[in-house]
Amino acid sequence: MSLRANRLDPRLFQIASLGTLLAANIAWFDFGARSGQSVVTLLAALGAQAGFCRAFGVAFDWRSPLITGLSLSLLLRTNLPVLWVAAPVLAIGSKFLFRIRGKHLFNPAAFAIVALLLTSDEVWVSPGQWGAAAWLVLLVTSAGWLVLTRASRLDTAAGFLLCFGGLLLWRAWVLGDPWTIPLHQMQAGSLLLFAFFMVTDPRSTPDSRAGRMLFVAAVAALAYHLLFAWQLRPGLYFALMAVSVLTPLIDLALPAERFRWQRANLAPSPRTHALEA
Amino acid sequence: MRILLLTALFLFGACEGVRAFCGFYVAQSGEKLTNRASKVVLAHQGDRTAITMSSDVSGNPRDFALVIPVPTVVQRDQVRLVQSQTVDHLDSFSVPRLVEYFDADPCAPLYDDVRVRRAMPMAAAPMAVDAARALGVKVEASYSVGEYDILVLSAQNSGGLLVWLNQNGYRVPAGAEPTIRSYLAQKMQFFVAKVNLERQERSGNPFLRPIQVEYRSPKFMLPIRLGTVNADGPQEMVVLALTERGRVETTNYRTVRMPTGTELPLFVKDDFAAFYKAAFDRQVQDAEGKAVFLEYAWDMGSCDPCSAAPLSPDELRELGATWTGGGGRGSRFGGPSAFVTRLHLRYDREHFPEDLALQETGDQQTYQARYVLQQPFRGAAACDAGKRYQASLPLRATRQAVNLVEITDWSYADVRQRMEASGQKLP
Repeated sequence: MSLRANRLDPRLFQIASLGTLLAANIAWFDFGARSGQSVVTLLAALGAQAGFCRAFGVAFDWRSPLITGLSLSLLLRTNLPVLWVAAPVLAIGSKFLFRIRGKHLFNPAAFAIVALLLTSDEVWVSPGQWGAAAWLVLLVTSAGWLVLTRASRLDTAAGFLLCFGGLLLWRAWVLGDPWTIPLHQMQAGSLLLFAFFMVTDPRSTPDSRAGRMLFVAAVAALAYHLLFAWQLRPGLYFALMAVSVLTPLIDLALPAERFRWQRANLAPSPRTHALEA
Repeated sequence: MRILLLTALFLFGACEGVRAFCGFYVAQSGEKLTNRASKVVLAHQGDRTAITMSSDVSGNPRDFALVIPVPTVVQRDQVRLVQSQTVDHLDSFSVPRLVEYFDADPCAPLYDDVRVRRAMPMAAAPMAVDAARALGVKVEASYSVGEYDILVLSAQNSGGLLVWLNQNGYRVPAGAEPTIRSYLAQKMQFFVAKVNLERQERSGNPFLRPIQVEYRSPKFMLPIRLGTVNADGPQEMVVLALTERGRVETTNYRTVRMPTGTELPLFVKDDFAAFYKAAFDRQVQDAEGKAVFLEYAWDMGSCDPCSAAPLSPDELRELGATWTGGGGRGSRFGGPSAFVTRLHLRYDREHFPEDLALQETGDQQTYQARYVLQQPFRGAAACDAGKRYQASLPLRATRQAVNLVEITDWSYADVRQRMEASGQKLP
């Protein structure tokens, strides 16, 4: 990869990956996303970002809200058009409203998904719709790889998949199940999307590597419990939300330099923003 | 039949412009649309699930036994027998359907071209508890319901349970041991039922009635693993779910909609079952055998076209949808509110290693696997418009042929030959 490509903002790779998945969904492989909902959600995400930036006196950046809008289009299911707008507004709003020491607490898309699942009967997520097709596993894994190496966050995805996969293998071993079962569970497209594009969010996970490992281990353990003991189908998102509350404490105990998108692969710049969205 | 009347009125008002949703119901095929399919009805509300299993056994009832894992101990008052007709009614109500439209006389004045298209309905015996204990098997409950003797078993180890089951006439294959062990480790119990021949004879009913088990548990799933042990090839299952809120889907396998609304050649009318089997085969193949197929998703309050009359509130309650007694959310047609989801799957151990994990979604969008026949106008049609109409028919026939080939993978030459034999002209 050339130096020039390395200098590109990793979010551009993420936008390209999520955009490709959305296009594939609409064109030929139905994951359950709908074009009307996607257009409304993307526009509402950009609009909400512009509105909140203005209210908080921060410069507008289109990349983060686009990622949030794409994630919501791909993951959140509802037939109520008002929620196509409410979801991105909640997601973007959470970035501005729930901040501790200048860092937002929750992954925006996961926040909106959990908030709406808790408050509305009209919302659901379809973890099965991504299937376990080999091409999808390959696409998500390689796209995730491309994004995360540029953001220096491959460790987070690997840590999460190791922990969660380890738990699934342990379960199969305890139950005496054939290996095909944990393998099937690990190939789930929804799990890989979560691992590469959500739990790795550099802006809402701990700053230090040790902190991030602690974080993903906790998310994996809680998600496992919610999925199998509570039978909560969207357990991954609930686990991420619950553990995110601990991020400021982990950052206090294990401090490290704060992540900034613009400098992901460049030398630290002396300029700092009080509030970065 | 108030519900049907309302449906017909709604249709009459809304027909022009939304043609795709109106039509005369032709027929379900007399033949079955599936081979060796088991039918399961799941009524689900909150953490309460009632599962009704319809045993399609044609052999000797002596050979019939049912062994299913359940998440809790099931007591006598949680087991009921259901009329086969009720399950069959839900099956015919939701089955994939063929609808037929008729072209109007192309020479007739336009204002006559209002066609009334109405949705027409077409029509336990006491067992040796000590012996069980010696094998580490605990009989949690034992009772009889109708023609069945029922036991609910828990066990310390799978080997003991397997020995016990085989000693007591349940022929469980040895390959089932790891699966039984897995269920026991998940703290599940085994619900086993056998036919009590004496009582069945006394009842005078030659057929076994479907058996319904109700339990409270957050586990909304369907155990399929035992069925794949030593199975002779892939098996088929139709899951008919009744829920309060909306469509049911699997969360560990893809749920894929069957193609719908496709216009087909006219000969399909006499061969709908073969057509649908081929279409289903093709879909399974496209999904590499790893998907569950949606065939119907609709509120019971209405149907369009109805392939059978909607189920009565009594029938719905019999199938376990107890909330339809008036407490639940009302449907727009004033009928009992139960959302029907029909899922169809072909499964084996390789493609479906895990049990089906299910979830009820908030999706109330209606869907049905429905195929269309467009009957041409058979009159003289001697006017200019009539000639143009006649000239357009071969092109339409070609489109129908291509549709059929795409959906079934049948050869174009065969399809063409059958169309011509049935009187359709192709270019």
